[in-house]
Amino acid sequence: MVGPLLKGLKITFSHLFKPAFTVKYPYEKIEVAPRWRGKHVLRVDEEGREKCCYCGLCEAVCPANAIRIYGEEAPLEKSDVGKIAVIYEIDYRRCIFCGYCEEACPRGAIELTTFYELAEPEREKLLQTKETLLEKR
Amino acid sequence: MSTVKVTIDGITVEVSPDATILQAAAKAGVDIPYFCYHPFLKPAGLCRMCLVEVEGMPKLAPACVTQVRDGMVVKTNTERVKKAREGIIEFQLLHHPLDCPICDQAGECYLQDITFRYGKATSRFADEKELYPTKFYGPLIVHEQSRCILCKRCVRFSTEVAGGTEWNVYWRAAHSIIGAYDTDTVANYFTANLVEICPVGAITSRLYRYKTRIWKLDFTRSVCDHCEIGCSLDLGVRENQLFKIKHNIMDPTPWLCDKGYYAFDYVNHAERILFPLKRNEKKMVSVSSEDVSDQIAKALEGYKEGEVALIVSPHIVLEDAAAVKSFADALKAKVDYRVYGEDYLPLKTGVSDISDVEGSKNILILCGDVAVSHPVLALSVLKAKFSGANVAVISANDTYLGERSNVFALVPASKEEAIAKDLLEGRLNDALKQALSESELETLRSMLQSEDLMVILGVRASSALRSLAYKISSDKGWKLLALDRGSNPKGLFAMGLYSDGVGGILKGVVDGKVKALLVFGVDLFETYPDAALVKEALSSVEFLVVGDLFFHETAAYADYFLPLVSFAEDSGTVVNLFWSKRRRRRAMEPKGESTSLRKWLASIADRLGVNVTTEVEGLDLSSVEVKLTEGKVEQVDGKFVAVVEPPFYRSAKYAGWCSNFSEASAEPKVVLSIEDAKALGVKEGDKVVVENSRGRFEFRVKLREGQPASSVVLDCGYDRFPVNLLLTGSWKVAVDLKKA
Ligand code: SF4
Ligand code: SF4
Ligand code: SF4
Ligand code: SF4
Ligand code: FES
Repeated sequence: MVGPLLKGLKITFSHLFKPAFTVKYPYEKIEVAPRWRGKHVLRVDEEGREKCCYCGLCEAVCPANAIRIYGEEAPLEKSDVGKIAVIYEIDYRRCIFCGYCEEACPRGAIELTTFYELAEPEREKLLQTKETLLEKR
Repeated sequence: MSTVKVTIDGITVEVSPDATILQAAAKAGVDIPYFCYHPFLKPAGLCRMCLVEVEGMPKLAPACVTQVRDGMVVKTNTERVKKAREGIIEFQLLHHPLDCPICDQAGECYLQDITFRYGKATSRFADEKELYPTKFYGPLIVHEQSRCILCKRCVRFSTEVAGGTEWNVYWRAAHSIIGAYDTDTVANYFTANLVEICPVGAITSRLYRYKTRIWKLDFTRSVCDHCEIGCSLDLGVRENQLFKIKHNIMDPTPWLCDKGYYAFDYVNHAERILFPLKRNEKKMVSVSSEDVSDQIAKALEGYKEGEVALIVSPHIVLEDAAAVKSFADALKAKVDYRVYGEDYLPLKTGVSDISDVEGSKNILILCGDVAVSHPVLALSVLKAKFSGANVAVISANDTYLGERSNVFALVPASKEEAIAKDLLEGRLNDALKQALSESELETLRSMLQSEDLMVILGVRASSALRSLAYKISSDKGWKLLALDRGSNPKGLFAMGLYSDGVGGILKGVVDGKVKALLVFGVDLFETYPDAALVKEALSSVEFLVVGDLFFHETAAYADYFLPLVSFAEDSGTVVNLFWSKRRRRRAMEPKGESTSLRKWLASIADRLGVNVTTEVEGLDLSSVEVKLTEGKVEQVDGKFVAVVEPPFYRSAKYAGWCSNFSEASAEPKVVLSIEDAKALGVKEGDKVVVENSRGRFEFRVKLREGQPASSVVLDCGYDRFPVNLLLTGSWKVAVDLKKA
């Protein structure tokens, strides 16, 4: 009867002297792999123009229907092809971080970054718009 | 008729001997890719996408122009055909920018689909692509030559169907450019078809440009709301906004006009009123839907028999009309739909299909521009003309069909009706003789002698002329088509929604007989040809309820405003020009608290303790009787006689709230004869003042050769430019002109 109990305790105590697996988040943070799929970013080109031209492929491929876009004509200072997304929303209540959007994008405009701290106190804030998604330069 | 047997990929079909291989293949269910072929244009054999192998022919044959032979054996699935297709696509894509991500055609592009199915993923072309600049032609269309595959569908439409030459091919061979050479606006009433038939994204709509992607839209098949023809349209909606209209079936014709295609953005307009309003001193304040019905019902209870009247737009559906009728009957109220001041009622004639027009040998068009009031009908008239018919147009203003017809008489506005009357009675009036050459007169005489004559009466024709035309045409066995304004006038007439005209109702208000007025779906200041009377009536009426989409000038006088729905948000039945019922379908949810007219009336009637019906199944159009109204042939005299007409791009319903569409006619113009311009000392582009005792307006001068002296044409339909002020109940008026 007492044998298995001691066996268990032995394992427990032996771990006291080994290094810890967990980190003290948020004081310490884990390094994630470079291909980690976290929050999206909408890239801009060298001249600061938005790359996204609203081709709609990410919107169409997204299995979770998390992306919503509307486009408009834009001057050449804002887009090298004269077309930008006027509304670009990703709904993090829906996104499953599959990365298909990045894969579908013909212009390298949307990428998933390693940023993973997406928790918000209110659900509505999980709907991110162009302001928060656009890369700042 | 004899048929021939053709075998395509092992499937044998019987087709008529003048069919092409492509048509036979369609019957056999074999897919042959094509770009330049179009079922309603003449075959051109330009793109070579449709190459197939025919047994016994050494070379591959283009299926769209090769006629079938009995016993012909065609193969489309051989290695040779496959290679040819890959080659053609490689050629098509040599200089193509491959910019599908920004192209509005992506998703419905022939080139994209065909490349995906039959093309190779690689190209051997290593040099730099030759790209061309994008060209905007006015507010409606944009042409991107780099994407063009030179199939000439657009050019063939413009020349073969619309009868114009402006849209064409310039330069040669690989450097060919499609477009209009010397102008940067193309607004010829039918540009919509260029967008629709271009198989690639070379011609696209500026209205829809870059807004959304085609696969995000849900399409609902409905019926156009701008004229009586009632073209079938697919309304593309995303998130309860109407983004795009498409037309891809032959119903009633393969074509549509710019009104149907572009004039829809009023549906999404930010200025739409979506909540009921009530007057509080000078201001309008919002009020709940329940309260508004309560208060209107209470107010209406106080009026006696005959003191209430209703005016409705000629665009409302039959279901609404049934409700209006039963509501008016319960209140013993007068009701009318003729908001353009018409003194006539629709005439039921024997013409029962648009193909009757296309099959006519002689067509006589009187008093009005068919292409403005019923655009697609003009294309059918042209079709008849191209197959050999004589077309004569007698009009006081320059018309689209005029310059494309065999006989075109530009007659003085004051004598237009008299000339038309004489002509119908078989006399060629002196004024008409002046306007025509001897050979034209000869053609006109022979037309009048013929049994196979179709008379089309434009919207300006008065009731007297209509009655006369009706009698004469039934005597002589002519066909008659009498056009009305609005998109459902025939239905409203069949429902009995008429009394003594809108003018009669307004005069009743001024006389104090009518004390409460309900106006639905129309801004009388814009439509009624006597703005002064409208103003007097609306400011003196005791109680006014206005229902519409926008808070327009009529609404500014209202005690209550009810938000109505647009045609895209409601379903219902309309009666078209040929007296058959057509069904509008709801493509989107009503915005805000707006709802249909029948629902508003039902909720008001409920509180009044009366019943309204929306039942229209019982309406039997075959038993509609002709009601000939009497009236005098119109005669206007004066130093200058003006005929007031909206230009095409101002003639759509709610044009003022369709900015791209209405921009195509930028400025109000007056058309003057050259003598008059000399006498006034003005040139083309100068300003002149047009005035009479009622008002004074400045117009830009446009000279027209052949315009009769002392007859002028004034544009109307512009925002904050109420030309109706000059008018006194008719669209023709005596005015004075001065240099500005
Ligand atoms: S990562 Fe996947 S689920 Fe998230 S937005 Fe992209 S495609 Fe949609
Ligand atoms: S796939 Fe790329 S370019 Fe296309 S809409 Fe998405 S982010 Fe924009
Ligand atoms: S513009 Fe379009 S329809 Fe016209 S030739 Fe080019 S591809 Fe054909
Ligand atoms: S012809 Fe008439 S019904 Fe057809 S699209 Fe034009 S306005 Fe609409
Ligand atoms: S479709 Fe036959 S040549 Fe173009």
